[in-house]
Amino acid sequence: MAIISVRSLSVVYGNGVKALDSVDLDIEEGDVVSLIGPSGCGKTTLANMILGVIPPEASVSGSIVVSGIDIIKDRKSLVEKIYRDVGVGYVSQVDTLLPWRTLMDNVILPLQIRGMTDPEHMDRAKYLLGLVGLQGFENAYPHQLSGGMRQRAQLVRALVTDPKILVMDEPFGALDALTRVALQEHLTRIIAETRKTVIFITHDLDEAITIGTKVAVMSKRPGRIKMIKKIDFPYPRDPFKLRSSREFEDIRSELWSSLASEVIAGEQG
Amino acid sequence: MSRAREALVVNGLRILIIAVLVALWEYSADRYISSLIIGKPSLIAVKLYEYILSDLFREDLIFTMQSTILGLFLGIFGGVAFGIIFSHFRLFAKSVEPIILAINALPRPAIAPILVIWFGFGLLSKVMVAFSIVFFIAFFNTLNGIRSINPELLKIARVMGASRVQIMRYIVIPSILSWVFAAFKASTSFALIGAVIGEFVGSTRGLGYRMLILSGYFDTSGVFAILILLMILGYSLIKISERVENIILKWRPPATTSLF
Repeated sequence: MAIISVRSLSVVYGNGVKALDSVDLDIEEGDVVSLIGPSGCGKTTLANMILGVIPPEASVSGSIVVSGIDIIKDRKSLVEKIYRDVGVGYVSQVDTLLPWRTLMDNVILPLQIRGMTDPEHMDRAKYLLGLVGLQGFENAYPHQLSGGMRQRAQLVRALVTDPKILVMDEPFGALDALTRVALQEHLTRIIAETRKTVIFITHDLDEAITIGTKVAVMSKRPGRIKMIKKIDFPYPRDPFKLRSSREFEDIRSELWSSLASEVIAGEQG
Repeated sequence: MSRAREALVVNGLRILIIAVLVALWEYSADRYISSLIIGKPSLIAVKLYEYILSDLFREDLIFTMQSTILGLFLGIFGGVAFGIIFSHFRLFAKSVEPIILAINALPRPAIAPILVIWFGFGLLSKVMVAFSIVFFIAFFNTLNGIRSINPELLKIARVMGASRVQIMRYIVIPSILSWVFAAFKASTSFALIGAVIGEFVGSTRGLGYRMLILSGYFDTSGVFAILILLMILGYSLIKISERVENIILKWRPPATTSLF
């Protein structure tokens, strides 16, 4: 059974903008779904809905079932419980490290919130920092770190409670091309090691293919899922090697033609 | 020039400039202008010495420091608390905002007399004058702190499963404090101003009160002696609060540009 199951989900914002139009999406445990689409197509809205952040004053129809609980219709306490049990980590595009906390204190914030600051979990935080190459920076403040390091720290923070689901909203969008590719490599290694179910939003097609076991293409607004393509490269992946391979090129051109028609349609609409 | 050498030169120049100014002052006093008007450094030094040795000095200094520090901390605490309450009740906030702006627009010396009527000639009225200035600084910085919180931070905290209290504790309060402490130095000097104004309006002791008495006797050198003490007190308080500010806000990125 799918861990996340989205059924004919439609969202209309208070100002009348229709963000999502009857979205259907099944995410199996262990799937890494890259969500790609033209800007403004509702990718972030969909991610927010899965995170349980339902926009106020929006009218929502359809359902999102996470581990058997409909997070839109079921009781709030039940929804909170399922999020605690399953665990959802979130990495945002913007820098959300707290500037007054050191790197280590930032990373363990979710542990403090859940009262899980036992040695075992603290060791896990240290282990994860090592995994993304941040050991030795535990006592640095965010302003002393580069953009790529801060983004890696956000990733560690999202993983520190060992959630089953990881939602990433254009996490590398603000980084330069080289740092971005390096982080993509980091991420596939971490996914291989920690076996998460991942929803990865991006506007970069190469990135979508590099990260995902499935790439879901969204239409222009109001967003629907237009096609889903399985990507079978084994994990962990090497972005540099992958991109020069023949199969990558084939997948790329197939997805690109699907995406391009939306972008052109979006321009005209 | 090496740093050590530069420091030596700067300090040397400072001493020289002060020495020249004091020498000019001493030379002109009673020669070109009466010392009744501009005082005289040698006389000031004597007055300062006598005053510092007297019991009055200890009493006055403690009184002024007490009202400054009490006004400072009560003002910060009150301003932050009221700012948080204020931001939680949107309609209430909208309604009273013009009232608060109007009260803050009042020149504080103008309300000092009424505060003395209400709170008497003792410590409390001086604390209240200092409080009335610091409170608003803390209040407005609290509002800025709350308004400048990145909504994405709140979303992330909610996704982490934070309760309202935890969001307050881990995100809102630190953000407010970073704003309030960024104005800690300014608040300290304003608290001293408030305390001295309170003493001017009605008091029985304090450095400001002592100065008022001396000026009534036309004891110009005595007035200057107190001014020097107030200067030292203000300067020390500012330096201490600068230290506190730097310790509490040590996570801040250092300023990258400097005028000099």
